[in-house]
Amino acid sequence: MRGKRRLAVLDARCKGCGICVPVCKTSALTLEGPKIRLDEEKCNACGLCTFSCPDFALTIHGAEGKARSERLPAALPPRGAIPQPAPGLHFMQGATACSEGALAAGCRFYAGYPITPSTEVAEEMAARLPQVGGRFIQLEDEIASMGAIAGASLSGVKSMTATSGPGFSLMQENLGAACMREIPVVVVNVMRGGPCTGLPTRPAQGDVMQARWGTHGDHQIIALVPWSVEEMFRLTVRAFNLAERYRTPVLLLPDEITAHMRERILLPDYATVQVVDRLAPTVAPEKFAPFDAAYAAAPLPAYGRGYRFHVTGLAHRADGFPTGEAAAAAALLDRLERKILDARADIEEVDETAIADAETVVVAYGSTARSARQAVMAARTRGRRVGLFRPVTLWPFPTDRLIALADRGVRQFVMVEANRGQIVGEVERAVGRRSVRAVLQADGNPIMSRTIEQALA
Amino acid sequence: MQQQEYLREQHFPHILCPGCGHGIVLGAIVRAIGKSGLSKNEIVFTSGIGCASRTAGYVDFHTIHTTHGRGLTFATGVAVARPEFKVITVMGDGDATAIGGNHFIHAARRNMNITAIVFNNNIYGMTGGQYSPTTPTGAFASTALYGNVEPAFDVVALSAAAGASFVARGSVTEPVKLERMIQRALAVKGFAIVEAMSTCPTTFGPRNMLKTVESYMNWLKDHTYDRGKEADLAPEARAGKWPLGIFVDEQRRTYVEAYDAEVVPKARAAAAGEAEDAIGPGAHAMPPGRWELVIAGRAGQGIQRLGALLAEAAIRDGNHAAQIENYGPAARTGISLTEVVASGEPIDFPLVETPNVLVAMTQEALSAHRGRVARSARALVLADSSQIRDLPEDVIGVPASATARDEFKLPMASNVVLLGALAALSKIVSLEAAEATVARRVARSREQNLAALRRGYELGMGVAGLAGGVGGVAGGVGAGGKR
Repeated sequence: MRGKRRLAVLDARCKGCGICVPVCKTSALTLEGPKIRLDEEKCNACGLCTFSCPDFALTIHGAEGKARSERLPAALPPRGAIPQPAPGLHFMQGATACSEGALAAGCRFYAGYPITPSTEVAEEMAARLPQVGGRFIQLEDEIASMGAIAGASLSGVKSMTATSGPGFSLMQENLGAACMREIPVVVVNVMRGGPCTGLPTRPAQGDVMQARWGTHGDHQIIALVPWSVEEMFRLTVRAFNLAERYRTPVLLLPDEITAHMRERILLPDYATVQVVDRLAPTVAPEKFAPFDAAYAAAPLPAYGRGYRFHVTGLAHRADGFPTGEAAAAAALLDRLERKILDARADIEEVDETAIADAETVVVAYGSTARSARQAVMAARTRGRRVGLFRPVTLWPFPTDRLIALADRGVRQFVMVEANRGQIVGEVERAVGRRSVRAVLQADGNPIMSRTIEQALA
Repeated sequence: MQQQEYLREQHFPHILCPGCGHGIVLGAIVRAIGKSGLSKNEIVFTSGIGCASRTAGYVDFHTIHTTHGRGLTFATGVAVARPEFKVITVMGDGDATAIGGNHFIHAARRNMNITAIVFNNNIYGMTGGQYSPTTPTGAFASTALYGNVEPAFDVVALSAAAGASFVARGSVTEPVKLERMIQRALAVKGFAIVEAMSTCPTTFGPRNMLKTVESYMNWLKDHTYDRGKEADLAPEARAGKWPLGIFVDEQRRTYVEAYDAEVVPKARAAAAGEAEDAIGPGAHAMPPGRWELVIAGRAGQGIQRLGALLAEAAIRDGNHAAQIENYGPAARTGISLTEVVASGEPIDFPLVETPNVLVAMTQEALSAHRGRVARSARALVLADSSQIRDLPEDVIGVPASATARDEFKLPMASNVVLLGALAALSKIVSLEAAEATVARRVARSREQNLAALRRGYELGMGVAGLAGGVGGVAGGVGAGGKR
């Protein structure tokens, strides 16, 4: 039903700029004091002024059209079976196993920029995604890649990128953006040496602290470090599952060796792979809050299902809209931290070798832990009571487990890493400086087992 | 036209300053969306950082307030992953042409299906009025107190050159025309850009003698003209002014359309053809211990391939192997080297520390790596004797390249000959596993390659017979003479 057309001024919105005054052909609008005044006698309700009002303060009543369509776009198709290498034993490169793990976990979008030694992941995804109903895009830089996977994931499609040192630096801004907006994504950073271009084709573990603290501000992050081709598959699946469960970016930090190495892998039937999906909302759209603090990580509906919500990098409330309120900002940061730290029992994964009676424990991760294991086993044959502690989850760091080992009587911890000692401080923080020695090497060469054996002698 | 329906009314009044032109642009966008018949559920609306980008919070779509300059990157992800949406990105002039300039030109070049609106007020407003890439030369800003010396970007020319499907420029002084341009842009499938000339009465106006909102609006009116009337204006009357209108309207294929039409069918056909079969492991007993092999030669000799075939054959035997490629930045020149570690037991460190097998395919490779080989009874140095001038006593020679070239007319198969010889001499892999691997991995001239492999095995067995097995070889029993 249409009433008589008439202009209304919403005083609460009018900021008194006066732009509408010269627009009005009948001089019905005048600026008196801080607000516009309407002379209804003069107004012919032509509506011209409504187009020029920057504050949405002028509206024409009686011009209501028919209600807009609430049409929904096509929903995301359910994930079905995908073509895969036959389940069973394969000889495979780490990068391939990573890509296959991503597909098995439901990844259907990849954006990236070529960089050694991560490029093989992009090449695999470019070949495989269009076979499984996904899409690949190579973008202008790593900044765009990180933004694109965040956007795609927010829209409902599991997404991944892969990069290496310098590219990881460029991703930090939008990685933080994804942390703040709680967008599940997986970022693979195949580590090489730095700073800057460093030794692009050589292995290193130079980015483990950047993974933790590379973005500005306070937030927790999950980072997993594979040491084999088998783990490149399994931990990529796990990275997606953790990302979805905790609505957070998850980092996979293989080094050059693990990503480029080819070895045996027992590939599962992807239909049997346990896949976690983000929670779907249980309330109607008008009740939905994308950052509902009743959850550690709130449900995140795919776009186009009637749930229209806002996300911002500004401190925000449960409804997603910005707030400058100190208590709300503090509560947000607190929840971002707690959702990961309170779930450590689920997130943390460590691998221990010969640790039960060990007096000395080598701490190492990634491919370095393989030479450490070799050194530990060699030392064992000489009767040394040595064990290996391998954090598979590097962040959050398994501090409590190291404390438990120290409490159990381990007298010495030997930290071995292919950098200048980035994790040494974490171990020292757990067990005290006096019990920690470090074997460090950051010259582009892998740390050989004999180097570690010498340190254990 | 009721625009309220698209607004998050509860958040008004918005945060923009009194008289800010951006609110007029937002009104034009919202009305254009209304007229285009799109449902709120079909729209994804992204923005960067700045005054223009704050508008994302006030519209009732799927809205993403991203990072500075990155609105188009998030939009790209949505446009590729969910092409069923109409994706709109709003940006300021600094957002679009400075920090996000790279994303802007590439989104245009790729013809991403995105409607991009640039709110151009010629200034960084939110940070207090610093000059931007679109600040006119000579204008004043808080970082151009003595006048801006930089030439300004022409957003329209930039967009057209980068390949946008639709390029238009409107102004807040003509909101109805602006709205119609946006409506046209929304109907485009591809990268459609509308530059909306806007105002900043808080930071640009006061520094540039435009002290009132009215004088600023009049200045903008004076500094824009309809490009349809360009012919009527003398060049000096157009100087320093922005023509308004539609500049490009040529629809072409979007990234997703091209991808779905060309990439997807080919990829699916490839997937239907080649399901990678699993390795059914055999039970070959590899000589005990850890075998560390270095295979070296010249790039182009199939060194990496030889390493991969060897390692895969070991796995086919039910054993363990790891291979790592070692390559420099130049792919097809210089030396090439690969390392394989093989064992009957799971392998800890996957790299070679002290090799006990060297396969050298050139003189240089032999000279460079021979000294690294462990001095142990089981050490083995195997060389392509066709490539070596004077074969040392303790090196086993197999004329791999000559055999491949002369017997099989396949110069590239010298690596396969060496694989056969290595299987015979070291027993690290069985001939059966090597055959199965070559049959699986070598697509071209498969039968000749298999024959070359067997010939290499025969040559190796011949040497092994004379030498009394691997252990004897290291003692240097006449191995050098078998050329």
